Amino acid sequence: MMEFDEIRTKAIEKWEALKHQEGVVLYYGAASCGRASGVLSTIEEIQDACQQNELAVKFVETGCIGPCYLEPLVAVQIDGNNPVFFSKITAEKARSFVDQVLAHNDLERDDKVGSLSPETNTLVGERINSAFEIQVRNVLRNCGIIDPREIDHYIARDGYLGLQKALSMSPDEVIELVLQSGLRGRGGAGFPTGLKWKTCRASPGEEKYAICNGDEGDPGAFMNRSLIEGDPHAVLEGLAIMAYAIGAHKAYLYIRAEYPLAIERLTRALTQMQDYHLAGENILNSGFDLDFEIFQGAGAFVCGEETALIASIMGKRGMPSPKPPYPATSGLWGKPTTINNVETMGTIPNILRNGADWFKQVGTEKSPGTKTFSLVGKIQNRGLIEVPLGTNIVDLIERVGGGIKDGKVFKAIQTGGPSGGMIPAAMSELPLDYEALTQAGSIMGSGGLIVLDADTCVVDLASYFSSFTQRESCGKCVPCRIGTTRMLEILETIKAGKATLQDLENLKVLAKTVKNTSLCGLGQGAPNPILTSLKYFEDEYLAHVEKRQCPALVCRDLIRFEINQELCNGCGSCSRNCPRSAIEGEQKQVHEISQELCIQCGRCYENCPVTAIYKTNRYPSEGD
Amino acid sequence: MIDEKTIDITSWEGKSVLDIAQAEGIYIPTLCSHPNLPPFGACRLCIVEIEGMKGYPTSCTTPVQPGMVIHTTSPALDEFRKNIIELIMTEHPHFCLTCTQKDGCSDTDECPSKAGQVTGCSMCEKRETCELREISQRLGIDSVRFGFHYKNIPLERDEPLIERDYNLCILCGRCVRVCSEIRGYSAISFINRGNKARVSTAFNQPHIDSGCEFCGSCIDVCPTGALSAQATRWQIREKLSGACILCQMGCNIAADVKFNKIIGVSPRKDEPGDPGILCMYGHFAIPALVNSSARLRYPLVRKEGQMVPVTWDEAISHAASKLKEYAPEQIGFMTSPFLSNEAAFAMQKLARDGFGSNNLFISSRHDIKEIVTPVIQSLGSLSQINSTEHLEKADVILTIGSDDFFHSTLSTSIYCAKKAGAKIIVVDPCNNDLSRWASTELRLGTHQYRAFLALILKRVLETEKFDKEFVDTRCTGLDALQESLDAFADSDLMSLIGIDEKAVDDVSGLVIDSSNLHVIVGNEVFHDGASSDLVRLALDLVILKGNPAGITLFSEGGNLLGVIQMGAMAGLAPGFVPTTDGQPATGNARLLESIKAVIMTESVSPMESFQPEFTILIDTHESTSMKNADVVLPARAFTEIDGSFIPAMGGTRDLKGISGSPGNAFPDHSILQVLGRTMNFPGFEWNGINAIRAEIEEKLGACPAPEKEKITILPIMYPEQLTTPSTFKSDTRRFRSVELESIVRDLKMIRQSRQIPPESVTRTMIPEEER
Repeated sequence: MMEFDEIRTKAIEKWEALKHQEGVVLYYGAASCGRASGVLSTIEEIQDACQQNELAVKFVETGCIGPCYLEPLVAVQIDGNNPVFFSKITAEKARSFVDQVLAHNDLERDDKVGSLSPETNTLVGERINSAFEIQVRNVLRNCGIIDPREIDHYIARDGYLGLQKALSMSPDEVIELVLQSGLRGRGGAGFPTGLKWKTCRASPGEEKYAICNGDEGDPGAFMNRSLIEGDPHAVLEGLAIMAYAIGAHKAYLYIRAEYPLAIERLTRALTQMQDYHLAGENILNSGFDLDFEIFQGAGAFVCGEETALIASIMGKRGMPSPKPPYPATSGLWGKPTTINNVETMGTIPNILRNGADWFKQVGTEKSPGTKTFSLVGKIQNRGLIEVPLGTNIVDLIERVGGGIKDGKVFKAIQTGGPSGGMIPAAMSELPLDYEALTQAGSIMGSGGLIVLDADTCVVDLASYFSSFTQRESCGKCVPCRIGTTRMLEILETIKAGKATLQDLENLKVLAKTVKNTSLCGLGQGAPNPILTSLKYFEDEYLAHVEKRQCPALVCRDLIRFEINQELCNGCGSCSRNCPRSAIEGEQKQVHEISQELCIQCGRCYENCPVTAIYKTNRYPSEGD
Repeated sequence: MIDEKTIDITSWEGKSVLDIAQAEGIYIPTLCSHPNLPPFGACRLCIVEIEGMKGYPTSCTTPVQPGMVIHTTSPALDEFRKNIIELIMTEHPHFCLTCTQKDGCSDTDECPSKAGQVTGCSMCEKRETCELREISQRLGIDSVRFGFHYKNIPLERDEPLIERDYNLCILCGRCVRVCSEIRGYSAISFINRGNKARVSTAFNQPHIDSGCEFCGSCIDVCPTGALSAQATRWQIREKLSGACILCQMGCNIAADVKFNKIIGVSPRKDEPGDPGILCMYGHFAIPALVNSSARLRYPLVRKEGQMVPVTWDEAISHAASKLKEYAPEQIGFMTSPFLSNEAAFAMQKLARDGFGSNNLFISSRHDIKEIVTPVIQSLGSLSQINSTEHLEKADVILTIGSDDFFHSTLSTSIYCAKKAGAKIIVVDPCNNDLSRWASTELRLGTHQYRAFLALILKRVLETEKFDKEFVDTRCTGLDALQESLDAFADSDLMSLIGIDEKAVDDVSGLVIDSSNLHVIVGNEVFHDGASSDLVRLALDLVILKGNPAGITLFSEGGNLLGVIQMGAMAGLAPGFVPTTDGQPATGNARLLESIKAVIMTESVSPMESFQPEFTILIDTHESTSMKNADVVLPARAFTEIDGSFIPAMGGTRDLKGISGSPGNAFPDHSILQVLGRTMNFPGFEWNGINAIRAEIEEKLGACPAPEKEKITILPIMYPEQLTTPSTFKSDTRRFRSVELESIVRDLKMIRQSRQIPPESVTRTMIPEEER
């Protein structure tokens, strides 16, 4: 059995050899985001072309480096120089790319993004600087850079040194370190991680369990997925450290079944750990035994709640139980259990290696460290980011995000997914930390950030989130099961222009009841989108109710599509695409939409080449 | 401190805030919490404000801590509770709540039995007892702001015994929890998610196939009218307390009585050891039984071959005069195990003191003498041979030939023990209802049971894992047992048992190492005399383990123990005193052949050896025995009399007269009393039931202490018959002469769904290749 130091030396050799390789190395981001944008077809084409041209190129698959809006992303390392990244290299562009870059080493192209900065693990380059300048990639330090299928890459970059260090300390010392760091759970509640571990350790009993919560259920959130797909060992190392600290000898990774690539990565990573004696009996000769098991979720958002998750592992119906007792006292099989989020786990090895003070260098006093976010919506630069906690919204939108897409106006940002709330543009000085967000009526959540512009209707967005939580409610408690259904019905009524002011009152009453009396976080958070949008955008609701108008022109029952007769060139593209054959017009003649048949699907609007179709209020006010 | 009142919580360790509030008489509304169930926290009505705790914790799930300051009401709490009830009402038919005419509407205007569908309280059978209605009335809710949506779930009316209208269900989860956590069956659970969540069986199969025992516990805990007994259809607020005597569990019942008739039965939880559960017979068969059209109403006398209704005077005089024609040794007295103590006492007094006859029999399908004699010989009495407490605290429970189907109360106690960690060992030739909880099952044929017990006893003695101190100081006869056991070699016994040695070793290991063993024997193996040694050996086992109170002998008839204690069995005078009137100690009655006249209290199957000339039948229902009866006297059923009885788990329980009897029936003890008086026997002048009770007490008090000075450990009585198979039969349930299945058809269908396949019964030896 190789000693870890030996393993590490060999791994560093391997990694250095790769980094300083003579010739061309092509890195390609093939996490789920990359795959969805077609990178595998790109690589197939590139490999084909390389073969044809007899080019010797080494291909290395990586995870996601962050700017998903630029995918498929590939990076080229020539003779050991820092890899240079190129964006949107689709299969169609493959041949020209091979020719220019790989064959002739000519890196000057319009789609060049920037190069990797090894000190900060970010990209630098004119095009990309603003996106990465204020990012601090600690948790994501390996994503997009190493091959997640190679444990040696991870080890070469200080992987498992954290575990080694932890095993040389006593469990109580490890807990103290994490406490000192001030790390707060990254799953959403922001509970001090060290305190959670301490309580669990102090609970009587020899049998304890460590669980990593990878059920990431917020629609539009992919931070955890990207981390597992890009750097699975970071999560596993953190989980091993946590298990050691609390005294558990069995660790579970609860991963939602909708993440097959993540599950694949973890399964492979676990086998590799076994081979290197980083899992199983007598880890790193410390005498500490730990077994891992991957448990797949079965399609329930509510199973991200810790007591429901525990019930699910035990084969029971995934319904939350009242707390107390907390899992730290009585969790899986009635034994003390600690459950931590994937990102929290990914943060732990860094803290062990670099210390508490290092961790507190960034972030705020009450919320130290960095946080990964998925920045999506009406923003220019959409993707996965990691910034210090306390970064304010303006910086996020303008600098990291590159401003609102298509030059539109920033309206609000939705944080925390379906349990979170909308922060209006007027409050964009608000820092992203746990307290500030909760005070504003939202939550940090797992890190989903959805940017809205003036074309987003807050009522529509609130009803989108409400339909999600209503559908995912487990059904145990009255306020969530029935309350979310009634709230959703009222929102539908509002969107249909059939609501009264009394309905709005009822909505507020219900939202307050559901928020305050629900059993678990799903119900408690479900009214947040409604409550925040009511608080900050009440005029929009009132427009829907009193004037039967949707100011953002989104709600189908309140809008009309019209063809501007002066702009229409009679091309017929709209009528050809209309699913209801609601548009009449001769070729080259002005066309007209029949309002009786139109279902406001918007297809004509999207397809018109001369932007002659516009949306307007179906129920205009007096004088319109 | 709760609502400004300071309370000392030193004795309240482990209790919830809700428990304290209720104990202090502070009202907190709840729907999903139930005193018998662990807390669930689903309805959110019991929320309170606790200083220092954020939000609104539910009081049912919050353990009380010293220093807590609790507020049970506040404007916010009141508003939330109201909103929660209104939310429930948006999916629960509630039109009577909001109807403008509700003040003028009377509760009896609508008959709940006739409603096709419940749309409001007036049509719901639970209207008097609905907890949802009670809370909404208390909170003053008379409008629902958030609309109403009828869920349109199809009504479930085609299944036996229980009717389900899930449109009324509020998903409190009590039924699911009682079925899984108290009964251990999990026949029902939640299906679907969110607003579509419902209670159902796995894969929506019929309840008969899902493992449901039809004990009705789900109905008992349901706060609304979602679950109800099909036959009842009107739950009454003021229930009358009584007891059920249909089997030896003798459960306490609470009956819905309307116009002096029982229309429904639910469990009571009054006595310690009362699980508050009934079985499907106790829950659903009693109204049909006591209200049956087959009830006997008037005395009948055979005149010229026909049974003719006559007055009581004429019937009794005729009976008395005919009886005078026979010598005492020609008259037989048959006591049903369903009679009360007082009736049994009257019967034995009539026989012994009145007629001077010793021909007392207990009419039963089981060989009572063989079951009871070993216990009397060993312990000297049947009193306190076990208790529910002992059963529930056992660490090993060994059941032999005990068909537990539908003895829900007993199986609930067994499950309670299992939850606390008990190991259940089931010995039965075929799949038994306890198999699901068994840690080991031994499929032994009835001819192997005694060999099995003999082997275990041998091992207990060999390993000396028995309570030496107890045996030395309180017992005698150990040597005789050892000698009778030594006659069999271990290997012979093992091959007689005929199954895998390891299985036997595991089981005997469990039994030997147990510290609190409980053994249950019967009812399937009590049908013939071969059960005698079985009882002996089982009794020896619990005695050796130091606790003679650890055996349950489960026969039929709710008051079997009581009627024997009252002396209704030949050879045992009241108080288990062996009779010394020249009869052998075991007091065999005259052979049935010599009986020419008989007083029966239930139907006795015709036998070649039993052909009386004159039969007096005192019974509750019509039966085939009426064909041969000469005098038929109508008796009152157990819900129509006051009386006492002794259930299998010890103690004395009271029967209460809570309903009227049809026609002109009288209590059994009164009938026997009048007969005695008409015969001019002294001592039959009791003035009411208390007088009989007083005499019983006096008589029992005057007897020598039934507890023997030393417990006798009994040797094997019939070693040459060690492996004689005994008749193995699962009994159908009856009350005196009535088969309950003939009264309630659904019972038959349910029992047949659990039918032991005939071939399993005959399979008494596991073939070599299957061992």
